[in-house]
Amino acid sequence: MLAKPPHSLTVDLFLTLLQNPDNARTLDLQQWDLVVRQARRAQLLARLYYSLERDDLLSSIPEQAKWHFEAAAKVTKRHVDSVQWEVKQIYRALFSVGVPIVLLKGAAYVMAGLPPATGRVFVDVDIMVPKGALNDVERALKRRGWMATHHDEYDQRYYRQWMHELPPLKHARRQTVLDVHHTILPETARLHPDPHKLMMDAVPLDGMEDVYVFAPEDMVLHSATHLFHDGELEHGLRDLVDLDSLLRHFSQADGFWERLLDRAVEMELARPLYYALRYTSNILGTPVPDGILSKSRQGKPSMMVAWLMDQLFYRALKPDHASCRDSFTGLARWVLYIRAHYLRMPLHLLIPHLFYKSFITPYKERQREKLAENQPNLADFLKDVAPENRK
Amino acid sequence: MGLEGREIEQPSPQRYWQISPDTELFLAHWDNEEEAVVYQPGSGDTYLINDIARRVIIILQESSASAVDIYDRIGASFGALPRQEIIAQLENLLSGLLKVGLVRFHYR
Amino acid sequence: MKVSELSQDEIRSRLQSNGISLVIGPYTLCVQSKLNDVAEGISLLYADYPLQEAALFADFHISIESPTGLRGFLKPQVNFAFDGHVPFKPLPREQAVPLLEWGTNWCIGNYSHQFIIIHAAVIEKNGFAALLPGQPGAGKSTLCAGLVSRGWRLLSDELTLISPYDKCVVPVPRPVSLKNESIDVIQEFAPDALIGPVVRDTNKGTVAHMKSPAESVKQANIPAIPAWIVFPRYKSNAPVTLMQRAKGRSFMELAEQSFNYNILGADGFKLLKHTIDNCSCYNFTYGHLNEAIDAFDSLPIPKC
Repeated sequence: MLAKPPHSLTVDLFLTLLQNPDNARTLDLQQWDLVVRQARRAQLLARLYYSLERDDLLSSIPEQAKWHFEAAAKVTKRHVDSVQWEVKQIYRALFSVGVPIVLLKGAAYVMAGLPPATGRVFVDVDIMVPKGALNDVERALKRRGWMATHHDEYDQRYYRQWMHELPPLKHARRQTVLDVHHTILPETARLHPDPHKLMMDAVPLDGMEDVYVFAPEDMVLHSATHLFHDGELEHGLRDLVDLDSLLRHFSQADGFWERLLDRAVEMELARPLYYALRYTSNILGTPVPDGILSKSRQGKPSMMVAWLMDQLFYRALKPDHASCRDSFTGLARWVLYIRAHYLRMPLHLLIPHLFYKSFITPYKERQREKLAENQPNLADFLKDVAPENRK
Repeated sequence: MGLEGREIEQPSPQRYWQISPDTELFLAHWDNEEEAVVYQPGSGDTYLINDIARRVIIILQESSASAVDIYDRIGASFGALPRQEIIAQLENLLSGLLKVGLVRFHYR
Repeated sequence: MKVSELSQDEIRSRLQSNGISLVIGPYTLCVQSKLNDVAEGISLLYADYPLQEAALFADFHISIESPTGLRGFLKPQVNFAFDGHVPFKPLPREQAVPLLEWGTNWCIGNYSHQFIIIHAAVIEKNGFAALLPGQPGAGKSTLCAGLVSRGWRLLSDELTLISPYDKCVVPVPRPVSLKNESIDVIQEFAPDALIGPVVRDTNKGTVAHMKSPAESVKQANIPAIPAWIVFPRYKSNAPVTLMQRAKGRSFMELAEQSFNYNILGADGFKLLKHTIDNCSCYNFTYGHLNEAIDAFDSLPIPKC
């Protein structure tokens, strides 16, 4: 039957380096080739660069490999600048509405200067506002150039009624995407963390009135919930690395671990926390105190489920690279995708949704947006080379 | 072209213009050319601007100024146009720069 | 060791196992493929390229393969994969060799942020480089192919790479892509030039690749100082005209034609400004290749 994949230096080369950057000194050229490829697929190449820089190990990168790291770091630096600018524009657009805005995920890491901000690519900006203010917020944003996307009636309903956010808004000129949430999990999900509590304990951001980020414990729980409910584990390792950095950073404060446990129970998020602590400590060596690990087991599922989740997550949380797969990895990812949707939406809502998404929407989208499909056409790409945004 | 149908802004209180805070602007200009290029690090935007816009930006890079201040500095080079007309045109140009986020204003 | 020193069988066998590692300018490209036409294409177009024997580190690992399955049986196709990941829709099977070229362009254009990457052909004479920015239909590839058949060194036919350190163009000589009528034009203009298999009905029309002159490949490690930016326009039978054009607009045009100007931020702005500062910019119209080449040969050499 399925067994935990064996630890092998080749397969876990990149992970080993993440856990212990010092190993960089001992790698040979061929191993560096594999590290670059695994890291790139995990979207952690820049992250690895910064991690080596922090430990003064950049000189151990062989000459041929250096540019790959530096180029990746340039991209992420640009993303950080981009997020900072975007948040400023959002702040200015919503100033007159006068509601508290909580920055989530990447935007929060960047604006609060937290470790997961470095070496990361950020695509959307996520914010949370009180549910009652959604209409005003949407109106204010549209006045300042943001436009609705996902015009399909079904998608609109999916987001507004079943999920926890407005359909994504796109800025007309900058082409950046903004997700406006009113809670962190869909109302249709089985877990119901109270957004009001999250807002009450949010921490204000320096220099921007009425803009907040989650309290440390809530930030960790949000990240854990997002990862262990999210189906797209192509970025699983990257999100796990974010979690690991948050834990290492926040645990420097006294009493953090206890507060984290208590808060998880209070917010009914003990299950995602169990997974978070289990997999960060096992895969990335996060220094979670033993006592805390034991206590977190109160969030553990039944033995059967726990065992199954191990099989799934140990595979799905590796880099999405051929060298890191065994024959069960594809299945693992697929099962987790279904599970993620199951956790977000009750079953009777789930099946029609998946069906609709797989078979009807692509056809409709192709009618409306011929060029904007998931797989870009190479010839078009090379023909219309004027870049994405002329900046 | 005339003033018909267009209101001239009566700047009271006066708008004082400045480069968008937190970012400097990079200018590129080549001798005798009518157009220049400006780059804004914060947004990463690059624009092709005309000569007047360039000179306005150079003035604002030194310190904030109103349209009247700018007129006092460079108004003479616009030839025989009436003062009010030139100031109105400058306000117009500055509004354009405002729209793309290169400048801001405050009231004094 | 060069590709030409391997037998066809050896090339095929390497491609089918661990791959062939080609040294192209600053890059090592490791190619794998089970397809015979790819092996032939490499043997022809990349004959002069150095091989990395004990390939320990490659910058890009790519493969060109035919997908299996029912679809593949009904309508044969070919896929480009970058390190196991397929970024594009499959193309018809006969486009395997052009796909190798387009895929390699994608790799270089997507990741090489150690340079500024501009969609332009670039050629060199006397140590100075002429950039030919690539508006579609401009005829830059034909012009490029013509020029390198008459003494100019090929630095690149699609992707100009400029280094922020020495502000010079970094050569990455590769097969020159020719479309439609240009194929015949060049075949006639340069009968000694080696042109690969002609592939019809691609998105770009009929396509073929001209082998890069051996000297250009040999000098791939010698950079060049950008001196001229020439925006070409082919117009049938038109006389040659070379007119100076504004640097401001040329800057914006180059930024538009750049794959990574945004990503480089202020450094990109400064590098592009430096390049424009030190180049003469022209609009160029031509109708006959011979006259075009004369015009290029007469471009004023910058005073240093």
